[in-house]
Formats: sequence, C-alpha cells, structure tokens
Amino acid sequence: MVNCKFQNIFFVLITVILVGCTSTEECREDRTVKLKIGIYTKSTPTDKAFTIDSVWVNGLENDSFLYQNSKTITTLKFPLNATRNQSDFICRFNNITDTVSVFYTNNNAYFISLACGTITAHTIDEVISTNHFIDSVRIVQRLIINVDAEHIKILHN
Amino acid sequence: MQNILKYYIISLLCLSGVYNVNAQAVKQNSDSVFKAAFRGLRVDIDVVPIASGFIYKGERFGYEAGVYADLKRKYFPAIEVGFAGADKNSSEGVQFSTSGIYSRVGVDFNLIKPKKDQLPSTNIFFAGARIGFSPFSYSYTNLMVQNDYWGSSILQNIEGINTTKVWFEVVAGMRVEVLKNIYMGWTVRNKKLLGTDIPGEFQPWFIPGFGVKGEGTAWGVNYTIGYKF
Repeated sequence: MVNCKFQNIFFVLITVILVGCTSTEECREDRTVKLKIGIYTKSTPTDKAFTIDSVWVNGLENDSFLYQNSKTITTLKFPLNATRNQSDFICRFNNITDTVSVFYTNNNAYFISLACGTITAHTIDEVISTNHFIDSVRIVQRLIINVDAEHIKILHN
Repeated sequence: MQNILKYYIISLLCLSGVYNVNAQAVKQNSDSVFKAAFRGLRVDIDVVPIASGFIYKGERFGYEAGVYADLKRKYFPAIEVGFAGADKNSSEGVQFSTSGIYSRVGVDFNLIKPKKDQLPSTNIFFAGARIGFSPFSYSYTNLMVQNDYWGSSILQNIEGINTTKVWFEVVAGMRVEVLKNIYMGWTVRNKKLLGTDIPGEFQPWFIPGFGVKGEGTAWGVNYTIGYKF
C-alpha cells in the first residue's frame, strides 16, 4: 500500500517535470540570409579590411537603398532575389560607381526547424563586377545560409 | 573391399547414434534449464498516453504495450510496440503532422537481490536498455519564405517524407504485484537518437516512440498496468 502511494506521488512528479520541460515552438534563430562582402585593399587581401568613407547601394530595378551614405563600412550585406538566379547591385563607393552581379542557384527548402520553418539558401556560381573602384572579386564561401560568414571579397586598388 | 565398406557404414551408424543420444541429452538439458528459469510472461499496457493526450489537447497521441519474459525474476527480455503521432502548429503557422508504428527491444535487470535461502520477490525494481526504431512518414505544410527587399514570397508544402529513425534508451522503473498476477508500475526512459542530421534537410519535429526530437535526446515515462501469465 505504501509502495503504491509512493509510486503515485513519483509518477505525478515525473509527469509534471516532463510536461514542464516541453518547449514552446518559437523561433530563436536568425533567419536572415544575405551575401556578406568583405572589402580589402588589393595589396593586403587576407588580413586588413579596408574602410570606405561613404557607401550607397541599391538593387538594380529597385529604388530602395540597402546603404545610403553609410560611413566607415568594412563589410556589406546584400539580400539575393530568391525568385531569380541573378541579382545586380549598384554600388557607389566614395562617389565612384560599380555594378556587382551575382549568379547563383536557389534552394528554397533549406530547413531550420518547425519553429523557424525554411530559408532560401543560395549557392554562388559566379560574381562579376565593373572595375572602377573595384579591382577584382574573389569567392570565399559559395553556400549562403543564415550563418554570419564572409562569402566574397571585393579588392580595391 | 566389401568388408571395409561394411565396417565404415557400421561405424557411421554408431557415431550418428552416439551423436543423436548426445544431442537429445543436450536439448532435454537446455529445455529443463529454460523451464526452470522461465517464470512467466507479463503483458503491460501504458496508460500515460490517456493523460498526455488530455494534457497536449490532442497535439500528440500514442498507444503502447509491452511483453516481458521473466527469467529467474532476474532478467526480463522485453519487446514493446506502439503507435504514435502528432499534429503541431508553430507560432508562425507552419504545420507538422506525423503518425507511425514503433518498436523497442531490450532487457531489464532486477536490482533487488533476494535474501539468502529465500525466493526472489514478485515486485521488481529494475534498470535496463532498449534499442528502438520507427519507420514513419511526416509532412510540413504552410512553409513561407519571404524577402522584404525584393518583395518575393514562396509558399511550400513538403508532404510524405518517409524515414526510419533508430534510438537507444536507458530505462529504470519498478513493477509491483498489486493483486494476484496483476502488476502496476512505472518506467522512466532517457533516449538518445542515433545518426547525424544533414544541415538543411527536413527533420521530423516528433518521432513515434521517441517523442519530440529536439537536439536528439528525450525523456519519456510510462505508467503501466499488466497481467502475468
């Protein structure tokens, strides 16, 4: 009889603990997927980030600015269009304008979790640019997901 | 030559006779050892799903039963089978649904040692291990990906994903004979999913028999009513 009573109390406690431990399904992860660009001088492409005094950026055929006279920039983050395989950006670095074109493959079903759903992951195929301020572009990491990592380097003369 | 052949056949017959006698003796011996060790079969039904179905408001359901052989009241080889499922909506409107069968096999060890010259008690306090597996399918619907800057939105439904998951469990619990041959008790389980996830692949939120997948570990509890045959 004592055994049964002990059992019942233990069972209720365990149930309360286990039910109390169940998670509410809210997304706690960053779902932002952006192409991250580091800006470097051509002479030191590996270690020293180059700072730009003034940056203006907008997508081609999109009037909304991603950067509007932004100061002391060392990295840029561009959202890619998930319904196309190419996104173009008009970039004005210290009043010198270049166009950066990114070609990529989309994976619209990159799963994170039930709470966060899916993101669109991109795999970079190629990056080309005009060469006024930009000397060259190097791909560092082809897969673009919701992880903060540098994907390409822009080298300035 | 004929004599040699005759001798050879007679030798073979004699040998096979000796072997037969030995095999029968070994079989009889092992049968009697098994009969001496075997103390019956207990069938348990889990009643926790009745309560948990009410707590989770139908979000999860499950039915489970187990068969346990009693060997010397010391070892309890176990087979557990069940059917479970879940229908869950996230706060962002993503819907997950699954259902499937599962099974576990393993053994429990009675931790109560009988006193010298006494029969072991019918009540047991045990620890054990299980390997569980579940072949099942699951779906995610209403998955929305939006991009504010480019003004794009993509709605997806991923249905009928088939998979099999395998996990390992460490279990502990007790069974008490409350009436003649009728047992009640509980089992607590710590479960560890085997295998690794590939980043970006659709993983089930809930696995029948395992529970909510989370980071690949889960706790479970059974409260059982059983009959020993």
